[in-house]
Amino acid sequence: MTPSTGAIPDKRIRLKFKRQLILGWSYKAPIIIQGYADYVLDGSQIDVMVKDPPPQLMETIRKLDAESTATVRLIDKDPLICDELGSTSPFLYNNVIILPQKPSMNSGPERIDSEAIGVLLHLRKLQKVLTEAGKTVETKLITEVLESLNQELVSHAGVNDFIISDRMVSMIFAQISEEKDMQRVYDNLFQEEGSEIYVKPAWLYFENLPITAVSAT
Amino acid sequence: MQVAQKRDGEICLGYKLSALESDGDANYGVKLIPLKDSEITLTEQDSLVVVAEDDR
Repeated sequence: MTPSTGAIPDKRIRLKFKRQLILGWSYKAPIIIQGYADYVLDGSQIDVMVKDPPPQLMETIRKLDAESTATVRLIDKDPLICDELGSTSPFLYNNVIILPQKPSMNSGPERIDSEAIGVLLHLRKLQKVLTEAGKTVETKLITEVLESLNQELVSHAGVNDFIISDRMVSMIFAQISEEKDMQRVYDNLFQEEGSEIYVKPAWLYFENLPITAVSAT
Repeated sequence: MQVAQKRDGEICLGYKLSALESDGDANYGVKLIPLKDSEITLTEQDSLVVVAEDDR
């Protein structure tokens, strides 16, 4: 879309400290935590909930906490048990990321997806209690779908964002195989320096909403 | 009728309509690279998809 008549509202989104809850763990979790810590204000908080964490995981968390500008903590509770999940007030966090629940067990994708859906159903139940009490919930729920066939199930479980990792990786592979320079574009988009793709509220761009706009892309 | 404003160094790729957020058939409300001259109505809850340096 191109610039035109009318001034751009002089508005900015104020950055705030963020609280992020990670339910479960996978080998990707340290990358997620480091990447997230790069984007948020120093002093933001990342809590990882894993039941009976092995010593190696506790050590990894300690390292991440020491290395990053965010505070990284471990909560020894089971996200698959609704009461334990509820006791940490997941909806007081900005984002909740759902990862595999039993990373050490080498569960298959079906099992991991169904556990993620189980956690999502607990979260939805907890959210319902809050909304019925008249509270607004702004927490974003994010999960990874391993089997793209499960996409519809997950989206019905009330998740805001999901990543279909196999499909996404396949599409990126296909593009890079045709045009290798695409990799530089993706590298730039996926790191903290340079530009990223954001979904920003329309009120940053338009003074009087609602409006009917014309695309000029 | 109005055309999208542009903030410094940002490029708009599309938009997200919150009303269609849970509609899988409508790509969850996200429309990328809309046809030139297509008309959309944006409300306070809707968003633009942009390439930008930061999220402010």
